[in-house]
Amino acid sequence: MPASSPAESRGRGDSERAVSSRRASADHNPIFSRLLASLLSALTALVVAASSYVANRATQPVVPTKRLSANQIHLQTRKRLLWFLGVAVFVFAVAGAKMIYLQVVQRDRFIAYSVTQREHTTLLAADRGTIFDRNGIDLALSAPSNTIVVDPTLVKDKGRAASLLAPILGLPRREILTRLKAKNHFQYLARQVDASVVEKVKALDPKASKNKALYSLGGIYFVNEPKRVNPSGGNLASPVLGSVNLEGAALSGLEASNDSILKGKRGRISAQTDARGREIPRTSRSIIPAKRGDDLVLTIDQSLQYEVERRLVDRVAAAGALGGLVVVADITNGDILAMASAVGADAAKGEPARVANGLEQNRPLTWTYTPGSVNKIVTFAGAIERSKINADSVIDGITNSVTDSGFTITDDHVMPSAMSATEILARSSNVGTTKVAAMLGKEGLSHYLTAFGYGVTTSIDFPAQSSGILAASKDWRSIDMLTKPIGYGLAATPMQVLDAYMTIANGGKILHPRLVAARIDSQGVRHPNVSRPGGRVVSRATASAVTEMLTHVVAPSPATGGSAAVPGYTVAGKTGTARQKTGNGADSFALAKLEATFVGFAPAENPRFAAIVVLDGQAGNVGFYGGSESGPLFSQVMAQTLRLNGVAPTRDPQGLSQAVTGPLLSGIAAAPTGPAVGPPSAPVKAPVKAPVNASDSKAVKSTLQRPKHRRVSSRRAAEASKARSTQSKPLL
Amino acid sequence: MATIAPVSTVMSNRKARFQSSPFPHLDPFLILPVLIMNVLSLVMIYSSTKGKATLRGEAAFGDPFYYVKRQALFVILGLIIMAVTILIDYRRLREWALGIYLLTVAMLAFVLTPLGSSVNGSQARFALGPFAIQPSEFAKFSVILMAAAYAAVHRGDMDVRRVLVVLGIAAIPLGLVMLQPDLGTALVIGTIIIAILGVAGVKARHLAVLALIGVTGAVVAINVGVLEQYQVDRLTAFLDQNGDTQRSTYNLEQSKTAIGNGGLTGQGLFKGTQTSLGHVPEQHTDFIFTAVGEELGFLGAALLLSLFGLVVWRSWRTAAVSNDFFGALLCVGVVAMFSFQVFENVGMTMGIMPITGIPLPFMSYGGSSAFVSFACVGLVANVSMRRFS
Repeated sequence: MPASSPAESRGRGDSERAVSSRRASADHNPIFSRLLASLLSALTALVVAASSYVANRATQPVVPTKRLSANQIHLQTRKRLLWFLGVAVFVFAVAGAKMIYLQVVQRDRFIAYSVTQREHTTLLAADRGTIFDRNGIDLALSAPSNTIVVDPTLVKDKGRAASLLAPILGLPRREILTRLKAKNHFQYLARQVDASVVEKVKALDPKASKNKALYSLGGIYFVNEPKRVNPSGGNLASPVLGSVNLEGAALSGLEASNDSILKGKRGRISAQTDARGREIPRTSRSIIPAKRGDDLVLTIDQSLQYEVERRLVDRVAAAGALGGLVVVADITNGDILAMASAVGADAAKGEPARVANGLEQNRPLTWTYTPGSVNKIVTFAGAIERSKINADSVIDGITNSVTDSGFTITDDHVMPSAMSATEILARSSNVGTTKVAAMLGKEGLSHYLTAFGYGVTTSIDFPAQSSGILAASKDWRSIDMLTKPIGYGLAATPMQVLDAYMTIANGGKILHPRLVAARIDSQGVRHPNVSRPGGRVVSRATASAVTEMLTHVVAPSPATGGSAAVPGYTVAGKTGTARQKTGNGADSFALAKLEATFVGFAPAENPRFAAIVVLDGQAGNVGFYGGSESGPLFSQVMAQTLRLNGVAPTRDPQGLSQAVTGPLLSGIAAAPTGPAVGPPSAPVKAPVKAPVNASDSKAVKSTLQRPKHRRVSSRRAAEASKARSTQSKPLL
Repeated sequence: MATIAPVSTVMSNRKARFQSSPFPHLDPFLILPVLIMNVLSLVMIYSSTKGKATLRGEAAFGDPFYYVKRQALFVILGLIIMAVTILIDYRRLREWALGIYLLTVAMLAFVLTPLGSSVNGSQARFALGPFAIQPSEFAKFSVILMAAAYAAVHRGDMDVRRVLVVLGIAAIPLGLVMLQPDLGTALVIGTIIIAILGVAGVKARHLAVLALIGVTGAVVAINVGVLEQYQVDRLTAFLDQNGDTQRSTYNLEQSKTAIGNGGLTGQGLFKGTQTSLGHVPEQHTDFIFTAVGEELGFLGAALLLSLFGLVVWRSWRTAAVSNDFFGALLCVGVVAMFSFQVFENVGMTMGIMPITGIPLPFMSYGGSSAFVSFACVGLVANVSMRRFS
């Protein structure tokens, strides 16, 4: 019989509880109930007395004689006997009536209650599925762990028990004592602790030693509570994965958006039990076993992710930034290979940035910012697609600033008054870009911003993903034709910005990014997460032209992106340094801090990977540029990605790099002219870490044998955590 | 056998009657229902105790027929006691009444000493090896006998002094029973004495005053603290059946559930879930009616009630046609006892009476109760078959 099964309240529900509480309040006032009882008793007595008197009057002869005659006595006896019979009949009738009420009228209620009383259901917890990276390495897994709970009422010597437990659990004695003195039957002592802790607590058993304080461990229980573990021992990809609380409920990230896949199905045992809770033999017992959750395979490459996170944190420190983020995507299929967020730098406290944890923002998807110059490709791609310009079109009449409605757009550096479109992009001239935008027109700009994916969430299913902010063109003011072409007056997530570049890199067709590669069900069958094919935004020719233009950004000054060059490869990319809106009105951007972006892809000839780097500048840091700060990190990350994936160099690595030779600043001629140039990269792809695909499903089955795999990876997790704790910068 | 022939009888056929043996006049409608009920009792005791055979630590561990066997022994002994009671002319018993009464009072006094043993907080029994005797059960019989014997002498002349004497006859064993404490038996004795007084010709106003005193006494007892708190709780629990089911009304709730679960035709013999699963505490003793209610349903329970009704009706009829006033009063006492016990027992299982420890005659498991019930039926049969002699 469980403690919480008040018979009546089950049967009748809330109204019943209300009655119970009324009853409870009556208990506080015994005088009331006693008075009532006395009153009722007195009333009963009066009724009895009165009826007896009347009966007596009716049966007694009027003549009052001291002695009755034999006849009278006989008569009286008969009447008294009849009265007596009447009482007996009445009493039996009452019992019979109540029987009818219980067994006929209220029968269903009692039958229902008897069923609830004997059927006991025990829920069986389901194991949560594992999250793997693209190569089958664990990113998040559920490991068995023990939670120690106590029924405080069963612990006799609480003070001594607290003293014994404190060193084992690593908690202050006072804290444990507080829990042991709680006036209930359930307290947590330690949640999700190692088996060694459990062994130590078990060793306190008085049967083994003389610690009588624990009452033969009668009050202490060990509950298996699976623990969600990040095998890295740290926060590897944590904001992407999200978090799971101690009860196993997904709170954020992919854990939450894929919860229905991962969580499995709880099982149940339904059994008929007797009054003492023992199962009744030969009664139906139904067992529905718990179903382990399916596994999830991400597109993330664990080793690249690790490397990206490490370099991001280093770069944030070197640049004196507050934080930053990096996303690396595969252009061949839209897979996100790495997605990292760094947060928490605090110059005042001298705290460096760190990799965000599972409860913090997955910034590339959930955080929006004013992207700035990186958005200029939308303007240029649109203008080229609509034949307003081509890469070589010369735009003249470029002034240092242009003003509209009290807002002034300026260029940071002095620009030539006439430049080719390529040069405008390479030098990131704001004024020049607004002139191109004017040719494209309001409708055109609005159309291409929308077509490149601004204002809507990406195809990645992620909790709290932002769609950014993009006003409909009918709501645009005239200033918007100055701000939006250069990436102001709108908000976007870094993933949306990268998405636009992926479209260019993909030859003008949208490439939907994905984070989840596949689900592996309980039979080991892989169910790939197929991205829907993307529509065309601009023609292949336009995409090639824009790519070509972007390669000139990655060149020495006065081009802005020289620092992003990767030796041996041609990089197409764009810098962006945007003041963030912090207020309203004319000076809303004046004192703002800067976000420095570099976004691009490589090799330009046959794009394989795209990446975006965003670093958060500290307020007042005026020399903080996308080229100078984010470019170097882009270079490192892209080089690493290309190398890890065995992409053959498209340029002579021994020779002069893209950044040194650089494109011509005016009248571009000598630069590579398109994807056809350069050695074909496909045959050179080294299959060192070939991504798992559908044809490898047999291999997947064999490598993803779960129990074995989990053991291995747990060990790896332990090693990784050890490594993290002993050396600050482990080598990969 | 000394028989006193009424002077007025002159007709030859009647002469023939009282010259012959009284045994042909033995009332089959009194004895048969009792026999049927005892058979039913054995079946229901089996049903409600068979589960105890699997409980380590229970006396019945390993033997599902443990209680049935013992009850069968009690029934056989009870039948012998009934036979003895029938054989001895009740008018002879009248001479023995004082002796039996004093013996019972002595037993009631001794049971309170360390000679008696305590079960469930009640110092109520003498342990005799594997069995136990509850003198309070025999007190009912003694009080009927003694009060009837005294009141019959003073028929039609029950003044205040004599009423007080009769009350005193009841008060001594009643007080001793209350000291055990055994509230249920005390109430039975009280009911018996009121019934005998009533029929014996006590003035209505005396009865009214008595009732008033009785009710006032009960209220005072409840409020002043003569009774233990648990007794008060149990007595008043039936007034508020929506109260705390874990405590005072738990028993009642389980009991009602079992009966209600039976429905019209019952769950079937040995198939009652509440009965099989042991949800009803003390089911084979005071709550045996719930087993009948669940497994045999309304029809079975109504049949059982009808059997009791038949016994009560035959007893009442015996009182009405009795040869002498002593016999009539004996039957009145027995009718009062059975009616009250059946109503109180059945009523408490259904929540219309407070829960007090009263066995259901001929049905509940227990030796002393069976012996006294058989003895009382024997008494009525005795009066009944000697009504012509």
